[in-house]
Amino acid sequence: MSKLFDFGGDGNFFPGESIYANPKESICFPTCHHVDVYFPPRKRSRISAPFVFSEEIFEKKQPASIEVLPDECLFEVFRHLPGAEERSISACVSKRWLMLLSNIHSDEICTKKATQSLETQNKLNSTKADEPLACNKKGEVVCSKGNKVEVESEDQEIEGDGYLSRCLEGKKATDVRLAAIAVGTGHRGGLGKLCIRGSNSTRGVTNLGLRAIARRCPSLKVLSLWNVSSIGDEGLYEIANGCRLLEKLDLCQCPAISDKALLAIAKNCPNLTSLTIESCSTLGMEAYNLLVVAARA
Amino acid sequence: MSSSLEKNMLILRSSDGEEFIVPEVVAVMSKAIKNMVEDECASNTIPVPNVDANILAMVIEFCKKHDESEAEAASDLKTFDSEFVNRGQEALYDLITAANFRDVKELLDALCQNVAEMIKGKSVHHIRIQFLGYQLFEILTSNFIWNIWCDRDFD
Repeated sequence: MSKLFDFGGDGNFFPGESIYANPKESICFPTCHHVDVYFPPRKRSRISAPFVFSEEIFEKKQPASIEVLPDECLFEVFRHLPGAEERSISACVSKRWLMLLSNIHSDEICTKKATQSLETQNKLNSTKADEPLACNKKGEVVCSKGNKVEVESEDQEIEGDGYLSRCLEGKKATDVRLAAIAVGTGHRGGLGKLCIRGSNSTRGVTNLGLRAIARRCPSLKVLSLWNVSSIGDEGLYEIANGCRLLEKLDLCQCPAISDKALLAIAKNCPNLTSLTIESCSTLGMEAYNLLVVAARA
Repeated sequence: MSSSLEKNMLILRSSDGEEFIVPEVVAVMSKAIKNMVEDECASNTIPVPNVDANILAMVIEFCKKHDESEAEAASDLKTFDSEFVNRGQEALYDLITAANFRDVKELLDALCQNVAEMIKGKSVHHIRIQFLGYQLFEILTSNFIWNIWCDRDFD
């Protein structure tokens, strides 16, 4: 008689479990919050308990995030970072940090221990870049997008005359990459030569990227912009204000640059000896005349 | 109107309504309050929005100490500063925001210096975990997935 009761099937009943033995695996479906935990081999449908995964568990434990600080406060914090190494590491943390760090002018850094930063500088020069953002001799540059960081070693270096040079081509020419270059080379006096050939079609180089270069690389000597339609006057104003040592400027197919930017360059960069303008529809004879006047003055 | 009050006292009211009576010399360490006092647009009670009572009390404590110990040895002040900024992250961020908002330069400097010291000497992952609230497991998986899917075409 007792066997009759077993017909309910409870004896050989498959105990309900998550389809994933390991809860971490269900990360594969990050968008589906309700996973049926109960898959009984029966026809009658059961009301499945919604298995709310992870959100609460992970959010509850999160400590206070420094991201609550507004930009200017974070900027203040970064200004107090003691050495180049720390700044390079912090720049790898997230895109926001990178952009903030790239905007710190080299004069604005408050260093208590100048000697210490010199030491780290020497150390950085000698070690093989363990820390990714320290630009080593192969021209290794780190870029971060969002919060992800990747090491790239493909930016080619062009032989420079004793100064650092970088060349960005095609889709690699982005603001993030420029900012990374600016932060990475900033502690060594910055770039001497920068070529931008073409621009990423979706996230091209804009004035922001040039501003980072202008702030961190005061000794830029050669700048060439080819086929960069997204850089306008603002970017060149920044260059004119930040890079007073500019000697050579090469503009090719930059339709957004006007005479005013060139005039600013001519006024602020007394060392300018060579200027090439090609296929810039907005630059007229007026710019040329202004430059000649500025050069004679 | 101000007869009930001593002459050089100001009342600061925090965002949750608590009031603090502080000497004017202390209050004007905040440039924002100083401007209000100079422009005489401040009546007796100065509202300090965005800053709650706890944080405001800390800020006032800091300002008082700095005002008193003007003549004292600088080393005393330094030890006080280092003890003052030795707090949990949440309080630190609130204090930084308040100091920035009220423009108290000494406090902001001390706090930022402290946070910078905390960042110093840490790795990228360590910084992400400690300051951005990442989980170790998140970092591991996200890097893994990121490396597989976005190998190099990420920008």
